[in-house]
Amino acid sequence: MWKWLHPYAKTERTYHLCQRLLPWFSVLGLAVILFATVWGLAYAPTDYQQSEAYRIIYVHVPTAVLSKSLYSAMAVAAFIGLVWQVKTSFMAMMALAPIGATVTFISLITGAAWGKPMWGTWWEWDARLTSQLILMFLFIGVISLYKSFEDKQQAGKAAGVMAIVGVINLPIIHYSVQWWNTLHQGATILKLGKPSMPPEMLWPLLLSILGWALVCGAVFLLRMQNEILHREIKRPWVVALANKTSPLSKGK
Amino acid sequence: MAALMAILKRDLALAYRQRAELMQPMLFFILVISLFPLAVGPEPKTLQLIGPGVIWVAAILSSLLGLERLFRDDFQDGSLEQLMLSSTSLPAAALVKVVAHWLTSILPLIILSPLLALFLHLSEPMYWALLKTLLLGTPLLSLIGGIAVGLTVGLNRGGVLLALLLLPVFIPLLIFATSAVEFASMELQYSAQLAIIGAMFLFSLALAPFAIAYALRVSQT
Amino acid sequence: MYFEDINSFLDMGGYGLYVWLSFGSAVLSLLVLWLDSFFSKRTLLTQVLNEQARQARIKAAAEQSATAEQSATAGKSAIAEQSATAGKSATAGKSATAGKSATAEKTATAEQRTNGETI
Repeated sequence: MWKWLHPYAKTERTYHLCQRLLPWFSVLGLAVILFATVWGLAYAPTDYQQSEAYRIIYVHVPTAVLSKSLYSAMAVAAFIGLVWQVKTSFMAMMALAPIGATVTFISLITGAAWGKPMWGTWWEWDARLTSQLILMFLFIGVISLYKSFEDKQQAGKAAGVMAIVGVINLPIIHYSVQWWNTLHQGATILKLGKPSMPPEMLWPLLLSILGWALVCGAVFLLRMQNEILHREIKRPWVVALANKTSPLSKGK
Repeated sequence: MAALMAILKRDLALAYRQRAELMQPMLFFILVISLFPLAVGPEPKTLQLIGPGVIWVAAILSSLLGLERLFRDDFQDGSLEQLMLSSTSLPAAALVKVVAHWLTSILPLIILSPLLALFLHLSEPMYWALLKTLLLGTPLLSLIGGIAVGLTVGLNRGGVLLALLLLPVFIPLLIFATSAVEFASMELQYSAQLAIIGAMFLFSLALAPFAIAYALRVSQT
Repeated sequence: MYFEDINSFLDMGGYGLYVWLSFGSAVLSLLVLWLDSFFSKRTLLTQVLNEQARQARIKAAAEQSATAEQSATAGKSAIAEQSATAGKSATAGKSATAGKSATAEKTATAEQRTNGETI
């Protein structure tokens, strides 16, 4: 059933697939993000409790959702790489990691910026922000581990093991932090009220999530190509590709 | 089976001969905990409030210090490679080494815990809760720590990387252990927290040896 | 349009600082990430070409010294050959560095940018 995937274990095929998909993901992603963000910022109605500050939702929620999805995607790539020994899977994993770290970072900043007007402080140890902070550490851990190894084959496997240990712990961390937060109830719980959101607010939110996902996808395709180029830099197909794409004025 | 017992005896004997090195995490444990009264003031109420958290954080950090010992010496003198090539099951051998490590590096901390509970003015029910969480939860530190140590055995900058990898993973344990002691201080039932810690312990007991064996194979290609 | 004018849009009901800080940092982070990825790709492709050119230079130098050796006669030919290849490789090296300095500069700054932007 998965036979059609097999050719993509080869880096050359995957590189060209990324190249073909890149314009779609980047153009579509940028368009959807712009459309959804403008809709949410300028056209969506105001919230009676939080006034205009609630509009941060249109960047905080997509990035928070994506941070967890990207970690899971990374863990899936790690699993495939470890079980079926597919090199390109480890490359995909490491292409995803910095993107995941960046969106987690954005979710932390936007969460703090949202918290200041709502709770009065820039930082609050609520369940969501604390979970995001720990997720940030998990991403940085996987990236650091990968970078500590000279041999990239070893590096991929080691980082893969850590990614899987992390993903198993992710639900445990999430629920334990949530439970911890109910014990130490300090500030008000930030209620997003997603199910009770009117459609005029909900649609830009859903579109933002889609837009961010597409843009992250585009960056992933780019970084995947970079990983492939970096690993296969001496191969003839890479040399041929470089000659074709770069202007031929360089070199002799 | 005989081979596994031999590994256990060997590790225990080696640890005993390096008693000085074993003292280091213990001293760190005591020192770090002693810093807190100095930092926040000796008021018993404050110390009792932060006590369980401080002891658990100090235990986690001390165990990180001692974790490197798990495979380092064997890696350096080549016996790790021999172990991996031998016919003994690597996961079983890894489990045995983890047991030896827990006995030599972490059990001393637990033995010290009454003294430190005294330093931080923990009440008696609090101390019993603390002891139970330590007994049930510290094996987790060795088991999961072993996975990360297995991955980073050959690397030079092991130390902080180990902390970076392991601390996020230890956070749930920290949350439930300290919560159990807190509940004890309020004279509430804390069997739920112990049950969750126990579940995490059994889960890692079942899976970690295989993960450690795999990690060793990855890092020792 | 929910807002009546541009000022109330920027003000965001008094929460302007937080809203624009959020969106601004999001855009900035995304931009940094995208730039890092894009310029890494450029750098990698340039690296490939540089390496290819270097290999070609090494090959050319080896061939030249071989042919010079063949065409020379005993005695004087040894000195003549040495000065010929030295002269050729010097000029080859000079023109190569002249051509490469432009690309090397670009590569260096691109590398600096990527190094500064990675975690």
